[in-house]
Amino acid sequence: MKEISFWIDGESVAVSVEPDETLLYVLRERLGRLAVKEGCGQGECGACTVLLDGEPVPSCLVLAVRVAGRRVLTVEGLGSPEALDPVQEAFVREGAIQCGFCTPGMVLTAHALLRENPRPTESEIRQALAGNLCRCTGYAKIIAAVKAAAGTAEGGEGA
Amino acid sequence: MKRFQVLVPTSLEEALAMLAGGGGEETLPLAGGTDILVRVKQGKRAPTRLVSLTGIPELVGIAVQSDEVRLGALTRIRDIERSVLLHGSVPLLPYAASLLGSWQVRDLATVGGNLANAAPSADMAPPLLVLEARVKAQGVTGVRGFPLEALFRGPGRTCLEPGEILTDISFRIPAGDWGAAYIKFSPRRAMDIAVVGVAALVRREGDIIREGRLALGAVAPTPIRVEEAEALMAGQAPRPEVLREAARLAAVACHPIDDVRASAEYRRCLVEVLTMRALSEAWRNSGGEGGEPA
Repeated sequence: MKEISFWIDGESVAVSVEPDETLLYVLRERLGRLAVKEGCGQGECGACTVLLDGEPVPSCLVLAVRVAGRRVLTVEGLGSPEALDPVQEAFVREGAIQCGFCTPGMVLTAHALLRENPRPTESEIRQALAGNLCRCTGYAKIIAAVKAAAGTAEGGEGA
Repeated sequence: MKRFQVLVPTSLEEALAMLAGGGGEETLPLAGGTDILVRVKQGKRAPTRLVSLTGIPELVGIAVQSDEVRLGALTRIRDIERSVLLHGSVPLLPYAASLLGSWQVRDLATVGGNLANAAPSADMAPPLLVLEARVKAQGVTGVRGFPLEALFRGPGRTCLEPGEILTDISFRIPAGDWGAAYIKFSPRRAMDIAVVGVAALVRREGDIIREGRLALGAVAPTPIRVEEAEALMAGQAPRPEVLREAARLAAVACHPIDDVRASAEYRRCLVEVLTMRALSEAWRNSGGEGGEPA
């Protein structure tokens, strides 16, 4: 076991990890961040997406030892039930959530997109979310939610 | 998954010593992890030690000095995708990088990892082959440089010795008017490997192809150049019959297999069509007029 410290959702933590444990495993099993989901475990589905120093990564392919000293953001660090982040708010309003399994990853990737590209085109939204699979919604309402959060939805409703 | 140790060197020297010092244990280099960790999880590889290369500054970087471009092997695909330097001088590479995997994968994956993993479909290979890239490999015994072609020995196999890693990739920006293109055919628009990959580069002189270069991915045991097509094009105007013949030679030169993604026959057809399109696009990118595919 090795002790590493890093920032999780704005809070500094120190946790003991085995060298071959993934960030996904540590987040769920050691730090109780159950909103980070394991879909495929192979970096293909995006359900385990977290932001590492602001960049979306598949946490199932990041070895925990590699995040020492770095900043990790999960969806739980975005907003709170009383004060949802605009992307979360838009997902709820637009009906972009069915089973909810892909949602944490989708929201984080969308959040990262809007941070660097506040008014993305639909094509840019689709490209950005290409690494996040959803088996329920058919993506239409997810894309609408990202547009709404960006304030670029048709009908002109602001973010 | 069998347990492994992770070593975290902070210098290249330290990393090479760790890679050489495994004793009887299987010690593998770890770059982005997007290929190797998947295989470890699937039980296909069971290393005892992984040497993490991401903390070594001299292995990362994109530098353009006069006409020479140098990429550190641990440079992330996302950094190639977003490089202002490369967008300005060799937009082929950021474009090819943007097609690899997904945003999340690109944030971890590295160009050296993509090449050293040696999948025949590696997205960075055909573009770097038409740029006539050279690579440097280093182990405790020393450094050696060689053309990128020489790296690939077969599916998943390279000429790297145990304990040796790629350290950088470099190439010269072609002189004069030139243009390039990379076409990746895959069933999905993202998060898929190439079923066929075609990279073309054209150096133009007036209305003539002074030099044409063509590389194919996913249709042979390794990524390949197509010398016969290149010889045909040199000195020719990009007339439809020239492009068609170059494409036919490319289809003859490749040796694809049937697999779950596509049949060999379909891949051969795709090579012919996509070669014409890639050459045509490269010609137009060089500032040439016409050059429409047949």
